[in-house]
Amino acid sequence: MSLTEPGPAQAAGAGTARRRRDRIRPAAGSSRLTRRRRRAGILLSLPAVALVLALLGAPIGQAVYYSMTLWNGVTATWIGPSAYTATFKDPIFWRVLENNALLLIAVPFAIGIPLAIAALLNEHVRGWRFFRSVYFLPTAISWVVIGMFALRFFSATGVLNQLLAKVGLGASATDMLAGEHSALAALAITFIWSMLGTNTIIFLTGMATLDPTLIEAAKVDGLSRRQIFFRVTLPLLTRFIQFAFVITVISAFSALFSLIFVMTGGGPGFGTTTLEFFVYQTGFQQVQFGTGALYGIILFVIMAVVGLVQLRLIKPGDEG
Amino acid sequence: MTAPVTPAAPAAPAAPAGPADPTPSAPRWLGQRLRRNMSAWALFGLMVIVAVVMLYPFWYIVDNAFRSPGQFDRQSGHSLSGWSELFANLPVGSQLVNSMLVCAAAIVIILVVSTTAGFAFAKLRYRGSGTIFLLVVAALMVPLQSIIIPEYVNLAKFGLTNSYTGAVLVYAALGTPFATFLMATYYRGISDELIEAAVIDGLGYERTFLLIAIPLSLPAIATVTVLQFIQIWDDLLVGLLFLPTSQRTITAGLATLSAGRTTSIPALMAGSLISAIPAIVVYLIFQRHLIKGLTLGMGK
Amino acid sequence: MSRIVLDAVTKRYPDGTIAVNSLDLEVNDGELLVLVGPSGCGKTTALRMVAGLEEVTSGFIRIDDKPVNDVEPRHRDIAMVFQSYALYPHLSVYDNIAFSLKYRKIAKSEVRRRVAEAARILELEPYLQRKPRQLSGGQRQRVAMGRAIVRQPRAFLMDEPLSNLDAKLRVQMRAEIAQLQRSLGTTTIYVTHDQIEAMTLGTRVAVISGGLLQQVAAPQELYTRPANLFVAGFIGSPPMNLIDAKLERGEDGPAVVFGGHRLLVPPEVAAEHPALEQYLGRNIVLGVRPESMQDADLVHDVDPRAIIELPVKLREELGSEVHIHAAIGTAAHVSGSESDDVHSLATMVARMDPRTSIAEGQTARVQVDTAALHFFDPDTGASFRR
Repeated sequence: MSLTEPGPAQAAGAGTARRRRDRIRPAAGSSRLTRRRRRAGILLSLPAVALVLALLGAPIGQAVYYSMTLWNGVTATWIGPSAYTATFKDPIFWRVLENNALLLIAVPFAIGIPLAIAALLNEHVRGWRFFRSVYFLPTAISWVVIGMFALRFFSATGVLNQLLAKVGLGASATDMLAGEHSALAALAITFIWSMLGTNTIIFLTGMATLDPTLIEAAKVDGLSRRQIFFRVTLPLLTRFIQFAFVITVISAFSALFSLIFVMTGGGPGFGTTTLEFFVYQTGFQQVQFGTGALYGIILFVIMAVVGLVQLRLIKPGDEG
Repeated sequence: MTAPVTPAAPAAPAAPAGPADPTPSAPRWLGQRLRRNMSAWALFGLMVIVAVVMLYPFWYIVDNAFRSPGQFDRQSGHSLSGWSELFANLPVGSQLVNSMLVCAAAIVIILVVSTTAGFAFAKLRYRGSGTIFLLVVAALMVPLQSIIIPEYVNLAKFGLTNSYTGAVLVYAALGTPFATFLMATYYRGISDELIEAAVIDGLGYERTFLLIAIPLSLPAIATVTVLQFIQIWDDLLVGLLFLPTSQRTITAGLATLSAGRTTSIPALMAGSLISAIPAIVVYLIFQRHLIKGLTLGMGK
Repeated sequence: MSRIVLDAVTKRYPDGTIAVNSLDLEVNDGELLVLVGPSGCGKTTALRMVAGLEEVTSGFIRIDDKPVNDVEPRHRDIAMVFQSYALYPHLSVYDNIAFSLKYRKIAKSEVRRRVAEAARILELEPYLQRKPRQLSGGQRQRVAMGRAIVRQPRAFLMDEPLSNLDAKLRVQMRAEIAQLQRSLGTTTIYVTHDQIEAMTLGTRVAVISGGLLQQVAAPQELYTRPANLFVAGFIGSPPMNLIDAKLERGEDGPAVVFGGHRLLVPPEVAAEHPALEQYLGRNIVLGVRPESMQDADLVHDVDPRAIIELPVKLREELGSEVHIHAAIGTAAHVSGSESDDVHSLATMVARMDPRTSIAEGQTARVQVDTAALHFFDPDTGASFRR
């Protein structure tokens, strides 16, 4: 790690030169202090950097390498970049990506509904703090457990159908997990439900940081409550909405694994196989390390693009 | 589908009102106090409805964890048969212990690594530290799935998948970026003068970190601990792949049990309950820290 | 055409604090009424009640004789300028000013016309496309004013709009606001804690303390005929000297005695203060404005009965005038809460002609303008004036 600067070397050298420098610069100890500070900085940040590099950084590079091989854990054959072109011709791959894309439709809901809930809580009606605790509770629950419930909710004999029967719509009872698209929908609904807590808190915090005089000014200026919400509050929450958006999209692309594992195992068919599950499935269930790594790299690229796009959107934007 | 809502509260998001002034747009002839109360009750009602939606799954799990398969089908009656089945099919106790150990070990590493690095990036600038910090935080964007395969290969090569070590290291690495970011943000809030005063008094930067920075950052440390605990405890993929069966976490154990599809539902519910409780307890006790930790990330 | 009336308006918070106590005020059409008082006196709360941002606990607020207690802010047709300006950070100056007009269904061309007009008056034309964060404090303040002007409301409510500006800018903006209000002729209620601002801006000034109205009158009236100790000590800079004194009955008329000094009360003054009679022989509080004291050596017609001799502690040069701090032999009057943390300074401050040769350490011969003496009851603080 060549982060060191010429400091120590120079100081060790010229003795007279340093004395001459000292006469010009009164605080002779300050450069030594700076060096000590830098040294301490490098020392203290080393463990984290090493850990991240070794376990997060290096594997990415390795994954790129693996992705261009055909490797079933025993024999490895180098294919090269054509592995990627082969994948892009694979209809199953596109089916999987299609699932991810479809899931993105859930994102606006996963943001809009929490906005409404946060606005609700922000009214500070009595007991709102209690409700805030309750709404945030699902974030502590594992996706596995959520999936457990969701499985029983959406199945043929599940809670959803029971509810429908009670309301009199028993005829439209379905096994949502049996159809490819309906299973994906069930997955999406569950996903939205679990993001409610996190995003609500984000927006609630955002609303709490808003300057109340801006709202008051709008009130005096004649805007109705609806207008105030959409024209004043929302624009001021832009930063928070962006943050929630990033978190939600990241979750949609990586956190769903556990949910899928428990709820559908990827099925029926490839109905709920999203890219992150596909990596696991290909790599560890079918023991195709090379191909699995390839999908992993594609996933990484997608995430990186999303991240960069977000950064581009945030930077030139104005202060919230 | 929602209960009939009074005209005072719009179904669309209600605008955040100023302090103590919810003059709603209900008919004027209903005196002001009555209108205000109606609006408050409507809002309260809405909050209750949302609460029910949020809590129902949990209720369902608790309710059905205490049923026998037959009772489950009929949805009535309670028994403990689910629990005995659970304990018969899953080494619950030892898996709970495994989860604890893995969490504890990973969190210790994360704390040590992120507090030192956070302090360094916040206060002990060196050439390139800004970029390195950005890179470390950017690691947040790396999806777990993208690296599991090479990770597995690496860890297996060093024999670290035969014990806790592999999983602990992976969890630690996964948690470090965000933890470092949190700690760095927190440390930036400490005035430079505090550090300078200590240095003038003769403490080296390292000792300053130990004796001054750490005590001052206990709230942030608590936040990181809580956040990471919940994330690691609830994680599936790493536990599934990097731990030997004998040292599996409860979450992974539960998932495999479920995938087997031979266990009765009440047993699975019981398993869900028992695996969820520690995280929920931690959440209830440390809510404030959790919320603060999440929202700190937005202070950029 | 807008008259605003506060009729016994009271604001009590749930914890019992009374921020505004039965305030009665009338703001006439076209006048600029200033609410002035120390921090926390309730002036801002009163303003916010007129705006509709705070609920009125009891009493009525009437705009043009219609009670508006139950009317939402947006229906009251008033515009408010906030202390922090409340500019929307994500909108340009143009959009900030035009903001409210857009939602009142006003034709685009009309909106453009009004904004252009306001921008011209406030000299904001070069900045119309900028965002608030790119503007200086003074410019932001003008944008806030612009937003209020274009509404062409029935009244302006201003909550300490100049507090966040530096002193020089404040003086300049003060004049601009005064001119603007006069030319627009819109009824205005203006809140400030700065008594100089109050005196220079207000058609009338209402002095408020502890939620209670102390006095409401034209600035000159407040200065020459303060109704009580609070107003006397609040208006005027440097503040009026308030001294614990005794009122004596002398052969030549009533005289006021303090610290070994004796001042005769002229008959015309006694006539203006009928209550003096009842206080003869008792303790009172004497009020003497710094500007009512002059170097006796510089005065043409010296009145020997109005001269006191004071040892000079400090001489402050201000260029256009000199402040002389002199010791008096008795305690200055301190009232209520201040007596806890302020030691009574037994000093009087006099504003004198800069040509005076009075120096520190000397004994000065000071001529007091006895026609401008003020007398107050030591317990109630009320003035003795008719």
